[in-house]
Amino acid sequence: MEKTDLLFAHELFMRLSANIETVIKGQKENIRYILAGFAGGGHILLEDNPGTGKTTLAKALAKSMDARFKRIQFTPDLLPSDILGVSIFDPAKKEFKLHKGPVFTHILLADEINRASPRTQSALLEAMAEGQVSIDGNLLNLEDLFFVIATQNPIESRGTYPLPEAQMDRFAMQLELGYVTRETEALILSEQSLAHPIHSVLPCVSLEEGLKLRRLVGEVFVSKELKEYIVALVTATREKPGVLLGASPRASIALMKTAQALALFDKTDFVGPDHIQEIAVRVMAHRLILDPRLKFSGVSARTLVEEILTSIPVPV
Amino acid sequence: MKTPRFFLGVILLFWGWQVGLLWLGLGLAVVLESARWAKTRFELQASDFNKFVDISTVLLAFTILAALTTDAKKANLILLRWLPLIFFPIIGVQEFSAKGRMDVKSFFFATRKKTEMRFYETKEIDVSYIYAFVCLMSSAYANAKGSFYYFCVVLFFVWGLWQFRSRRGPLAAWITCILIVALTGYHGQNLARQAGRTLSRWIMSHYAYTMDPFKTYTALGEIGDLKFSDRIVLRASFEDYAPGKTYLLHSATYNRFASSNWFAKYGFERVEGKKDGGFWQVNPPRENPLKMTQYFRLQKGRAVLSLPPGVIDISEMKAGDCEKNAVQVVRIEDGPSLIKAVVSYTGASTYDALPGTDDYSVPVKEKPVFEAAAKNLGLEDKSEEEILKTVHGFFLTQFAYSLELKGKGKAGTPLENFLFHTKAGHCEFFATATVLLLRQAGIPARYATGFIAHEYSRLEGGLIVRLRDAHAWAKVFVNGQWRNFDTTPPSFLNIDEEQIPTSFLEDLFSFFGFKLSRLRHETGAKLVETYGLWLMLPLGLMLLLRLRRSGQIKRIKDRDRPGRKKKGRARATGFYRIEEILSEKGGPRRPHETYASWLKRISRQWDNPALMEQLFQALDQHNQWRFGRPEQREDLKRKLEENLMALSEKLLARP
Repeated sequence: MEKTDLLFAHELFMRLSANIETVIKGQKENIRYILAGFAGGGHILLEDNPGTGKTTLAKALAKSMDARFKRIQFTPDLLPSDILGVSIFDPAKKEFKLHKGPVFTHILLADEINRASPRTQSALLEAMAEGQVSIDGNLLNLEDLFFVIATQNPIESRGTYPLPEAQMDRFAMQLELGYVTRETEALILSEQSLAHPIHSVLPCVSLEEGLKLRRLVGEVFVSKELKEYIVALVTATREKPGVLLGASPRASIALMKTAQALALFDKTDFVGPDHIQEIAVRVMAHRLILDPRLKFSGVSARTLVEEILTSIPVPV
Repeated sequence: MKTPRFFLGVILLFWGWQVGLLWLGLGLAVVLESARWAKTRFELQASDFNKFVDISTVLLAFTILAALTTDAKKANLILLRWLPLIFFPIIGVQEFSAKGRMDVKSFFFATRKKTEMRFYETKEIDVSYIYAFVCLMSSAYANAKGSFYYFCVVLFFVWGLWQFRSRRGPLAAWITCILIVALTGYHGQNLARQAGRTLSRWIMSHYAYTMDPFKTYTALGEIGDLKFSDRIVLRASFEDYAPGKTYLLHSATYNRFASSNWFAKYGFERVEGKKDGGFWQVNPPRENPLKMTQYFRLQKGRAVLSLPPGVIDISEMKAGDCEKNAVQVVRIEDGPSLIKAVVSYTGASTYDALPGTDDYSVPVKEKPVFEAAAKNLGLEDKSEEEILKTVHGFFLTQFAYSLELKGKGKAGTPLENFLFHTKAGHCEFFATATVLLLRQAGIPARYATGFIAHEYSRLEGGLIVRLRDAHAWAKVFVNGQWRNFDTTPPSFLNIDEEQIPTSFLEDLFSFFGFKLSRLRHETGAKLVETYGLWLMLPLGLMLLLRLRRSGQIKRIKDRDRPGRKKKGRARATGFYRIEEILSEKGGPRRPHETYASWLKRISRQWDNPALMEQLFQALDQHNQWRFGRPEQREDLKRKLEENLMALSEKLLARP
């Protein structure tokens, strides 16, 4: 990889990061991960309590890119055709005409995704995994750059359905924003006194630049030992007692790609063990299904993955 | 479910005492019991337990192999004797582990690999009682006669079960229960042993191949197919062998026929011989004897020899006792499992007893049949030679060989059926009919059994005789001499070969088994033991490779001996050296920590940002060398070395 490419990627990351930070305060780390997810070609799921800035963050990212952006507000009565599109009979031409749904876009914000029934959510499975949808038996390709950023409240909240495991697996990572510090929150208040800063966000990255970033991520070198380390981490989740469903090979791929993106953001053309450890919990935890008994004994998927991280020797 | 104090120790001592390994038993007992006093316990992972189970498995495999090569017959006994030592790693690791229990999964390769094992399915067991049981079982190796062993076993059971007795009922009830169980057990095992013995005798009487010189059961008059195995029972090499030549090896001769079976009433007398030299003078010496060598196995310590006609003496035969009877049946007792015998024989003239009245008699029941047959052939007014020629031609031209048993048919006796209706049968029919027909014609005849040696094995370079080559023929007395008279059509050898399939693989195994036994008997056991050790080598290598492939050996290195590995690497680059220095200065890296997170952690205690920055810079270079593209490595290595030399000196200088 050329030095200029490294510099370009780093600069692009800084630009995007700064642009989003004008809207979202105190989430520098999560912005880095979101961008890593985006650059690695994965989709992102933001899960947190209401009012922590999930939608704002997602919108800020979408607006920062000069790309088509659609939003679906997931409601309990949403239907699969509301996402994918539907064929409608045109009486004038006497034929069916396909009205494409919001899924035909570059960036798709699936807001409150777990408020729709699993039936509706499953409409997204094919689109997220393969970048294509089948409508009325026709195969339609989505855009080259197709990126889903979804938000949801924890499943304990009222009016939510748990996402199907297959859907969860299609998200490269799940992020939790958490509450910001008191000072930051005070800053947010003062900034929003006149108008919401989201309205003043302007695109700073073109579609081509976004695609180039994704291409560069693939060129980041991953040594054989670190690939083995990734596989060791992922397979450990399958062998851990009390885990009903471990992380999939798709998790291994996502872990490698996001680590590659992080390496690129750090201006290196190779992945280091730190990059993998940094992102491991966020990439793997949401895919695990734990035995209820284990859950009641106070173990969460996050702590379980952290435990795995401390139990497997890292190559240095 | 811990065993009571000293329980395992005493059982191990008991085992050592019984099987004659008292010192070993004492050592093992001390090790196990010391676990109760020692405070040290090892924090072991499932994979570590697996390793110990693997060690036991390897030990087991080695013991089986060693036992098989030293004394295949007593292999199970040898194995039994060493069981407690073989499984010692398992009990040892359990007693010294912090957990104090073994995961059942460790014992099976299949469950070790199972990925979807639910956590509540992990079943941990205490193997100490199982181990105690194994020790008791192994003590049975001593095979002490009398009830002492049983009494001890009962005592150990009482001791072991004492802590689990029900506290609800009175103690007397518990003791009564134990007594009832112990007594039933004692009589039960006596009964079981008797039943087993009866059953095995019954089975052996049906299947075992043993020759009884006093009577032989023929298959005359039975229905079905004769089934012989192709097992090799004898290997013979003749001095005068030429391709295509066949030999009749005589085992036993009978002279009384009654209800389809042959009997003999000759008493045995001892053959003079030098036991240690293995030389047995069967008959008075003669000039120009022929020689043949044969190898065979003893069945239950005895055998009736299969010999060529006119045996003079047998040499190189290490038998305990050798006897013969008047019709030259030679039997031996005691000896190594494989017997070699070098036989010198005349080949023609025999030493059989002169004919008696029995050798002329035709049973009343068969009389009419043979009278008719003799009449048909017109034997009455022929000379001896003519009679033999006629009879031989009669069977050769008019009869067919068949392994099919056709039963009695409609006719009165099986022989009548054979002679007048089916005209087909196996050698016993031909031999019996010939003997009785000749007797009817006034020529003394006897019924002989043995083997026909005809199959030359290129593999072994000699004649091999299979069980299916068992044969029966007639012996006739003409011109003052007993001689063999075989009327079975010669085609029978081909038919046998077709109908009783031989397996090349079985022959090969038999050949190697034979070679091994020969080696053992001719050169002494020691050589074979060394050969056995050589045999073990590939097996050990295979196991080693398997362990290495599954990463179990490597993991020991990584986890338990990090020092050595680091040193090895330190010479390669320099950051491992830094790690070593910093570890010694009080900040060891945990195995899961990357260098960056480790440095961050220990840098909190240090107040030297400049040094830290240098370290991080070096780390960046190290990472690039270690995880970066391989093309740039050589270049980086040199740069890194230079940087780190200075840095490590600086670090060493710090307190």
